[in-house]
Amino acid sequence: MTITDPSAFGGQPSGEDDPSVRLPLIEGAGENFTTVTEAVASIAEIPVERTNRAWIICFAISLSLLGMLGLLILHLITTGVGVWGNNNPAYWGWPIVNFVFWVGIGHAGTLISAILFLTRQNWRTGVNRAAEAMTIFAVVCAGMFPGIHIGRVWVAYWLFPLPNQMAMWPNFRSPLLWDVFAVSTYASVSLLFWYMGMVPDLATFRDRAVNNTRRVAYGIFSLGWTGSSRHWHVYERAYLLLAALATPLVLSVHSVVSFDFAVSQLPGWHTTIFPPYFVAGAIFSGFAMVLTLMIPARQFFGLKHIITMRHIDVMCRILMATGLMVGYAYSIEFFVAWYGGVQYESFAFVNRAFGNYWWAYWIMVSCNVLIPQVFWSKKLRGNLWVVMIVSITTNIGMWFERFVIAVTSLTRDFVPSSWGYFSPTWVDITMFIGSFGLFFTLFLLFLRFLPVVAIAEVKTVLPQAHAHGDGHGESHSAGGSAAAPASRHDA
Amino acid sequence: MHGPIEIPTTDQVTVTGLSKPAMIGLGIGVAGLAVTAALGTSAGDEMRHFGHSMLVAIVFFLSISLGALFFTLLQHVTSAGWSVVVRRVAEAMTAAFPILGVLALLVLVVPVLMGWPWIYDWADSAFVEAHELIQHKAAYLNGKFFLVRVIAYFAVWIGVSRFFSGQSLAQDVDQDKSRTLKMQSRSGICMIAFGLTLTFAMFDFMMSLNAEWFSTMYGVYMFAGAFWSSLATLALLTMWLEKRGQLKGVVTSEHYHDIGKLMFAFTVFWSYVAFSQFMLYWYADIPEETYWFNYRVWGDWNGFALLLLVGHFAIPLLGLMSRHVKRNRSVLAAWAVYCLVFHFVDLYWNVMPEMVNGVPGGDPATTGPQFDLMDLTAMIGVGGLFAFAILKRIDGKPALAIGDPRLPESMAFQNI
Repeated sequence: MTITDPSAFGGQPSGEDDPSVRLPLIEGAGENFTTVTEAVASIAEIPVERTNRAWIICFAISLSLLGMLGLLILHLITTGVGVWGNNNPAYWGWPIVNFVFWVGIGHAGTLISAILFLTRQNWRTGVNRAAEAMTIFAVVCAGMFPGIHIGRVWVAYWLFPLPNQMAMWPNFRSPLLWDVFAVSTYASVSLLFWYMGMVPDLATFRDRAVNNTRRVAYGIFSLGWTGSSRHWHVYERAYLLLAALATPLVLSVHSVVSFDFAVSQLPGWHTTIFPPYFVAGAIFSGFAMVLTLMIPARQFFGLKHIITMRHIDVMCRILMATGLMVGYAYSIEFFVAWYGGVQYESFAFVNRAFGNYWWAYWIMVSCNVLIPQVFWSKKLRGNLWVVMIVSITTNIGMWFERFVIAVTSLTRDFVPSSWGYFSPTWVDITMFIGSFGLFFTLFLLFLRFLPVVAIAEVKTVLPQAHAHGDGHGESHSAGGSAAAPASRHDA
Repeated sequence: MHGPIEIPTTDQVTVTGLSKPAMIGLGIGVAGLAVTAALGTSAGDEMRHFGHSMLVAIVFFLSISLGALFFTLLQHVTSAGWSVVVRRVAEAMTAAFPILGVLALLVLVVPVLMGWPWIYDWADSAFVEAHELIQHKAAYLNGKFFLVRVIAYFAVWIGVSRFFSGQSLAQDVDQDKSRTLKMQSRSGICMIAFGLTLTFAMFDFMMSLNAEWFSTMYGVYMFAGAFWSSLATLALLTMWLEKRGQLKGVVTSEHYHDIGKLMFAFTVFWSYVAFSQFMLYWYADIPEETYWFNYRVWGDWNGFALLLLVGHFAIPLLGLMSRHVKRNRSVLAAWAVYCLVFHFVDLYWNVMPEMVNGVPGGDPATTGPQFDLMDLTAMIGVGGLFAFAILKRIDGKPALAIGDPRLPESMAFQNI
């Protein structure tokens, strides 16, 4: 009989009906270090000619969409941003909506890898790698939109404060410039975090390589990792430090994105709750995307014992919690718009709900506030179809949230003579679809060639990782009146 | 890694001999309030200073109880294990709601019902008549509705806190694991009730001091300070009970380390919220919004604003960063006291400039802080009653959730 060290399992979902039991994070009786490595590494080790057909079909679709995106960008650059629906007064149309949408999605990964690491949520090990990868690809998609929105993309480097003979500098007082720094810092740290965490697993791939191409490719990126204790020691320190550095970034990036709107005087944009409200919304949409991606992935790649139903259960609860925070912000904004007594502000909110774009507002409220409430039910959190649908409606809702914020306020400002209406063009729509092509192309390549689960980290939450587990537990049960926590499958 | 876990017996953790300290607390509380009332009536400012000093004191202790309620709910909603050994202390800290409710009704609500602007200018019909913006919100800011809301807030807080500490105390006796599941399943909905009541209570008690000003962030701002100060109080009370012997050998430096980490996190969170609220108004520079900050940051209150910037953010940010600080009881205790002092500074800066605002000829920008003995006696008075309620609650009861199924996990907890 094995009784595991209770302290080693903090922060994981509790037992179904016995709170004193912490269920093992990895399901299945015979799971050990070898089976975990095997389960994850084998996904990337299938010979190219035997690649899963479903993957090929998905990849072909994604790549086509990416190609379409490339052509559309060419069309945009050669013709001008007039090909979009952006107009006066809606200067910020879909490009900003898509940018905020993608940046928001790119929040779950670093939250999972940094904040959940610091709060000892060990269940994160099952999903953190894929979530981090998703984060980086989402930030790539996000970065593209403002990049091509500037009109003359060949001078995009002017966004950075480069010394030049014209003594011309970006406007440091503009939150749009802060955004350049915030998002690029976030992208760099996330990439570093993701890559550094992957080094031990890449070394595993290198060591298992059956041909030279693989050995060299994984060899270069595993940076000479040998798995010595010295390597592990440095690795663990670096991981903790990066987690501590990345934690404020999770909050700061979307706060700065919210400043883009909130520092202005425009009714509907200028409200103080914007920074935490945007952060909550970002985490909300990020978790939705993690669920959308991981539910099929665990199914296709046989990872159901590593990314278990309880992982999904916990993520559904986080989704609901952040959704409620967003709902809180909607309600407080509405209340204060009335309470403040500023006629423009109250008009902006009434207009959102009952004006031209009422449908967008109610899609947003239904998808973000009402639908996630189904997760109060444990049964529905366990129904993958429901979870899948809610995760998708959440991202639809979050896209509409940004649309509602950006467009309703711009098209109905202080002076009725400057009011307008925004309609997207075919370029807007196809470009947004194309951005999914970019995202999924990258994500599918990740699924095919990189360790989709943090092998080394998952091993640390296996009972076998705690050498003193055996026999140690007797003292727990002998010493106290209450039974010591035991892992169920051993008991 | 660690030796066998000895679950203490109920006798070992039962708190005794607190009835005398509790009565002393009550005595100090009543005396403090009597002195404050005497000073207030003799000040000849139509109870303005009395009212505002009392508001600072009530909200100070109320926020500690609210933070403790949040702490309790948070542990259940996340099925946390590490915190079981200190959860009873947090539950005890919520025992002050009834007494604070009575104080709030007497000092905050009754004057409004009588139409006396002791604290809230909008209680005075002549003042409202002169301010169109406040007439606009009369449907919300009126005596009767205010009374109803305050009763509702306290009803929710008392109900929720009694449910959670009641279940936990009952579990001491029967060790029924299903109570944990019951508390977990109700914690979610209670969290929503908590969030809404805290927000609107702070809008009512604090934001409506200046009835024309508004900020959507204000509830979050008050929440951040509340949780910060309640973590400090939690650390101090736990240390005290440990010293008395009830939590000896149960609470370890591991638990203080975690409380310290949360204190550090909420130092940053408060600063983030405070900065966002300030910066967004400063940047847009709309007079209706900036004037609230104008006399707090640039007028004679600017010393306080700088003090907050340094004392509520920079110093604790650096001070609480080190691992050793969080794991050393006496050093952490010093920081906990420090946090409580700065929570007071924060509330004082929020409330007191409004004392002269709205009074004929009063200008907070040129008046600045007018310290009075009342500020201190109000804190002593409300603090005495607060202590009375808490000591009374834990007296004769276990200081540890002895029947909690996750107690062994919590006792064995180690930071890795």
